[in-house]
Amino acid sequence: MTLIDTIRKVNKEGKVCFVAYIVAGDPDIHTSYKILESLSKNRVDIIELGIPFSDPISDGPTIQKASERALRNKVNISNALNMVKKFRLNYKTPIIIFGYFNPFLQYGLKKVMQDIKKVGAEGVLIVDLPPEEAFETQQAANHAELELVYLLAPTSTQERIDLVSRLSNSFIYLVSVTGVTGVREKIDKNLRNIIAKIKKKTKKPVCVGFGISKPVHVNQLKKVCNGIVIGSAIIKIIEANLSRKERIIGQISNFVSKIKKATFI
Amino acid sequence: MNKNVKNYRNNPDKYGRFGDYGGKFVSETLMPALDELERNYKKIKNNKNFKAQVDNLLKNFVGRPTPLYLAEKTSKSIGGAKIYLKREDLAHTGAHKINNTVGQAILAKAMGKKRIIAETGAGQHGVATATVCALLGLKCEIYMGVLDTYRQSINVQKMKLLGANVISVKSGSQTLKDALNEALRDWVTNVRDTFYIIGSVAGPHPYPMIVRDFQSIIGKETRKQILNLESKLPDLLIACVGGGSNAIGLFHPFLNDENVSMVGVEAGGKGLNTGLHSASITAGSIGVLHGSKTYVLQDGHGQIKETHSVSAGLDYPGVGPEHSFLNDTKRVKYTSVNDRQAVKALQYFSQKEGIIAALETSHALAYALTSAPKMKKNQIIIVNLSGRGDKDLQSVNDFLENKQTCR
Repeated sequence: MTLIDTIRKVNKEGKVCFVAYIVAGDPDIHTSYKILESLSKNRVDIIELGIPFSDPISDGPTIQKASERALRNKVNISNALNMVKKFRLNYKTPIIIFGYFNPFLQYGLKKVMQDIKKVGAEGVLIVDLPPEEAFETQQAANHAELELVYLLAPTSTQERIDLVSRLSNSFIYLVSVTGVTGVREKIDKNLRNIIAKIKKKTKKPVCVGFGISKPVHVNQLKKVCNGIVIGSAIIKIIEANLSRKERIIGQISNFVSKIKKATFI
Repeated sequence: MNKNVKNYRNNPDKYGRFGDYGGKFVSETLMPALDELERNYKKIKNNKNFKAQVDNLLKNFVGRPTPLYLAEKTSKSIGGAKIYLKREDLAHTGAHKINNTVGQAILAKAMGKKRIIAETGAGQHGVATATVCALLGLKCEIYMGVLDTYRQSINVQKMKLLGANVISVKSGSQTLKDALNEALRDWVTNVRDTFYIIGSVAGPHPYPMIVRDFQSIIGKETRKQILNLESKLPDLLIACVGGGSNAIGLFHPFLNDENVSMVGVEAGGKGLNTGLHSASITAGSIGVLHGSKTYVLQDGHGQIKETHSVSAGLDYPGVGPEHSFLNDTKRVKYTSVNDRQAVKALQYFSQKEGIIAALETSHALAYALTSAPKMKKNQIIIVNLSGRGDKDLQSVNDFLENKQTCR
C-alpha cells in the first residue's frame, strides 16, 4: 500500500500513524534485520530505514553514532536494499528509504529509484534535498512510481509551505523543532500553529518527527497531525545494549508497544 | 570586452549555480535562513553606508591595502619570471580571512543577529571571526576539530583571549570537515538569532558568492598595484586551494583577462597515490558536501573520505563550487603540491626573503619555485601570500623530526 493510503487507513481506524526510524546495519546487519521484523510484528505502521552517511549534519549524537556503527559494518545502499528485499518476502509494513543526497547521487538517481522500487520499498526521503534541488530526483522517483517525501520545518515560510504542498506526491514530514534529531523533553508549543498553517494549504497527511520519544508526546500530538516519527528513542535502546545485543529486540518491542498504545485517538 | 572572451565573472545564477556546481543542498530548516541571508546581502551590498563601514575597517583596522612585494632575491636566485607576493600575511590577524569576516560581521549586525558562529581549520578564520566579534560586540563561538586545536594551539589561545568560546569537535576525522558539520548543526538549532560566518567559498548558496565578493578585494588591489608597478597584467597567478577563498579572492577580478593564467594548488599530502591528501579537484569526483555540489573526496558509495595535509587549513575533502566550475571550463588549472615540497618552500622563503609563510600558503610558493624558472625573464608571477606561518612552527618541527626518524 502507498504511504499516503497507509496513513489514511490508520487514521480511519482511529489511530495516529506510527513511523519508526532505524539505521540499516546498526548495530550489525543481522540484528538490524531482526529489529525490522520486530517493528513490523509490533504493528509499527511505516518503517523509515536510514542509509548511513559519513557526515550526517541533520542528526544529533544518537543517530550520528548509529551511522558510524553502520558504516563500520560496511553498510551501503545495496546491502540496505537487500535487507528490504528479504523483509518483503514475509512482511507488508511499508518502508521509506531515508538518507543524505550524496550516496544516492553516486549510486545514480534513476537506478537507485528503480532498485528501491524493485525491492519493494514505497518511498524515499532525502533530508538535504529541498524541493529547489530535487527536480531530477523527483523525475526519477516518479518514473519508478515511488513517493518522494519533502520536509517542512518550524522556520518554513508560507511560500515554502505552498511550494512543498504543490510538489509533494507523498505525505509531508514536519520537523518538530529547529534543530537536529534527538530525544527531547518537551514538544514545542508552537507546533500546533504550524500544523494548522500546513493543513490550510493541503489535504496531504502531515507526520511530525524529531524529538518525539514518549507516549505523552504522542498523546499531545495525535489529535493535530496524521502521524508521528520516532527514531533516536529506539536507537538509544540499541546504544545502551551494544555489549548485550540479545536484549535489544525485547526492549525495542516493549517500547514500541507502549508507543503503539498511545497512538489510539 | 572582446565579444569572443567568455565572461567568467557573472556567476552564480539565481539558483546559486556556477555551471552545474553549487546550489543549496541543506535541510528545510535552513532554507528560509539562506533566503533571508541572500535577500539581506543583495539589499545591503551596494548600500553606501554599508560600503563605507566595510571600507573604513579594511583600511584602518585590517591595514589594507596590503603590499604587493617583489621577491627579488628569489627571482634572482632561481631565474625566469619575476615573482611578486601579495602580502595578505600583513593583514591584521595574519591572513586574508579577515577580509571576509569584517564584511559578514557587519552584515550580521545589520540583520540584527547577536550571536556569531564559525568553523575553523587552521584557526585563522576562527581568529579573524573572534577579532571582529570583539570589535563589534558580538557573542562568538568557534567550532574546531580536536586534532586542529592541538596542531594550531596558538590560534586557540588567541581566540580565547579575544573572548570567543572555542568548541572542540570530537566527531569524525576531528578536522575542518567535522567542525563545519558541527557548526551547521548549531546553526540549524539556533538559526533564528545566530549568524553563521562561513570562512571559505564553500557551503550552500549564497555563501560561496558572499565570501568571494568580500575576498575579491585581494585581486582588485593586486590588479591596480601590478599595473602601477609594471604597467602590464601578470602572466600567472598562483594560490593555494583548500576550500579556496584566498584563491578566488585573487583570481576573480582577473578571470576575464584571457592572457592571465591561473593555477590553484591543492594539498597533495603524502602523495596522491597514497590516498593521504586533500586534493579534491585533482584527485576527487563530483559529489555533494556541506550544501554544495562540487568536487569531493569520496569512496564509491558516496561516503566522504578522511583527508590529510600537513596544513590544517587545506585539510578538507571538498572545494568551493566556483573552483569546480573554473576547473571544468579550464579557465584555471589545478594541481597539487605535497607536504614535503610545501615545508621546503616554507624554509626557502624564510631564509631567502625573511618571510615565514603559512603552511597552506607554502603550497602555492612551492609551485612558484618550480614554475618561475620555466618562464621568461620579462614574465610576471603573482603568488597570493595568504597567511603568516607563526601558527605552524609546531607542525613544521613535528614534520621535520618525523622525517628524520624515518631516515
